Amino acid sequence: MRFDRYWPELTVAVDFVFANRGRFVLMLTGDIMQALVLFFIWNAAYREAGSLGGMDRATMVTYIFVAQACRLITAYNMEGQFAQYIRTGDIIRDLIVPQVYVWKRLWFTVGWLTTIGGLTVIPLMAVGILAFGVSLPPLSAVPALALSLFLSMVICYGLSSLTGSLAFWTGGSLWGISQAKRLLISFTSGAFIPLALFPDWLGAVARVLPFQAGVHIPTSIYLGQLNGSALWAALGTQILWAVGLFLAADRFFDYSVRKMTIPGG
Amino acid sequence: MRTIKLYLDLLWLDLLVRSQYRADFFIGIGAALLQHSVTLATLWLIFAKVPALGGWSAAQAAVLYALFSLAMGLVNLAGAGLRELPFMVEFGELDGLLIQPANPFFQLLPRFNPMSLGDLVTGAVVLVLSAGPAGIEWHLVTVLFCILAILCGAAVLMGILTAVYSLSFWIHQPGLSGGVEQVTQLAQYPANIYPRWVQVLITWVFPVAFASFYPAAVLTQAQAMPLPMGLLAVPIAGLALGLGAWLWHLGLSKYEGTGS
Repeated sequence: MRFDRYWPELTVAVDFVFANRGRFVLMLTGDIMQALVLFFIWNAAYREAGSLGGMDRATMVTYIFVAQACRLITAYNMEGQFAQYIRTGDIIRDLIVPQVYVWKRLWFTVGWLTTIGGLTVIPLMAVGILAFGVSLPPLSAVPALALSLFLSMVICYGLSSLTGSLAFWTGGSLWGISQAKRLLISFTSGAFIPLALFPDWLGAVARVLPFQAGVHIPTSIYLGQLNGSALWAALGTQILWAVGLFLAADRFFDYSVRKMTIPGG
Repeated sequence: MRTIKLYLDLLWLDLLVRSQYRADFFIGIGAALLQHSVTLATLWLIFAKVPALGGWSAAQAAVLYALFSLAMGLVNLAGAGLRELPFMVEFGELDGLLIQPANPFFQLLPRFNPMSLGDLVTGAVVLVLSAGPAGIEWHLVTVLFCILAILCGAAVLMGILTAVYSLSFWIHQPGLSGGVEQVTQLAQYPANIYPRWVQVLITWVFPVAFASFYPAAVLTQAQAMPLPMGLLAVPIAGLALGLGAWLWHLGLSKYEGTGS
């Protein structure tokens, strides 16, 4: 891969986010809102019990805010735009340039998510820390956390790219599939409720799915729950999913693009 | 009369259009069912660990959730077109409605949203299943109260959403109204788990609690709630619809197209 060919993708993504600041401020209010609703629900639950699923109230509050921040990554959706490009035929423009499509989109994704992350996660966490007693991660966990978040981006990109390529087969309509994917990921990644509170069978299912790598693993690292060999195992799982899904996305795109029919725009 | 017929014809027409994309149509219903399943599963997992939230048992909270889903389902069925208003104002597409010889509001409203069927099915199923365990005895009065509560809840939500989406006549920021609409999700859970200011917000400012919390409390008596608090939904619905209509007319009179 020649990095200089892809670097512009990253900077374009950054520019794009800044050009649409207003939209992301609204997204931020939505995220804070969602975190608050969860906070109030758990707050009521902890009036009934001191510890739920082995987590005390303070841990849970931190979990809610960090999981909400990570959910931003798992909510990443490029398949809608992808489907639109296939429907209108604009995808041609991406196919005639000397870039590998999946790499191109990956760098766009990284630039996009990092910028949105900066714009929304910092205020979200600031609200959590100042108003709700969210704690900071142990300093020693920060490098692993950064790596884990990056891997989450690659994994969620892979999932989004795989879903997006389905549009080649459905003639460019993806809305329902995309909604279903978003909800499944939100639930099984632990964004709404920690995996520790899942019944055993559901927890076991969630742990073998790639989605938990999007929220559960980085949040556990933030909380300092993963150390030593458990930390390495978790990061290893993420690396395997990231590489596997990226390669699958690459293969599936190449295969699907040959099947392409453009209905016309 | 002609307006009502036109509205129903347009809604039916849009349903026919949507049902041409059969897969998307059913996936839309499925997506709504999945969305409710995820929210209900989250609640269920919490109730597996604690007996009650703010004094509401799982079944009582489910009744509350069901009433809100039914009311919101009716709004999504009858007025999903409202959500397109910000984009129509931004791109000047509203002009297309204004040159037709019919009330533009009732041309805007009818967009058939398959998700509404998912809302209504979920609401009905959850209400039927949870009413017994929540201590509701079905007789004429409770059935009538339930129907009134759902209709008034829908009217309250419709009024609020009309007001909120009419803001896009002044503030050209698509997404703003959708953001404000998220306040309605506070009504999915018992209001007494929120701090005082949120309770005031969803009772007197955005009175969404009248679509779920108050009628559900009257029905289940999860907490002491006098009947008048449930019936207050009737005048509140009138006020909300009035405010919505007023803002719509005010906004429409200021509308000048995009000029681009």
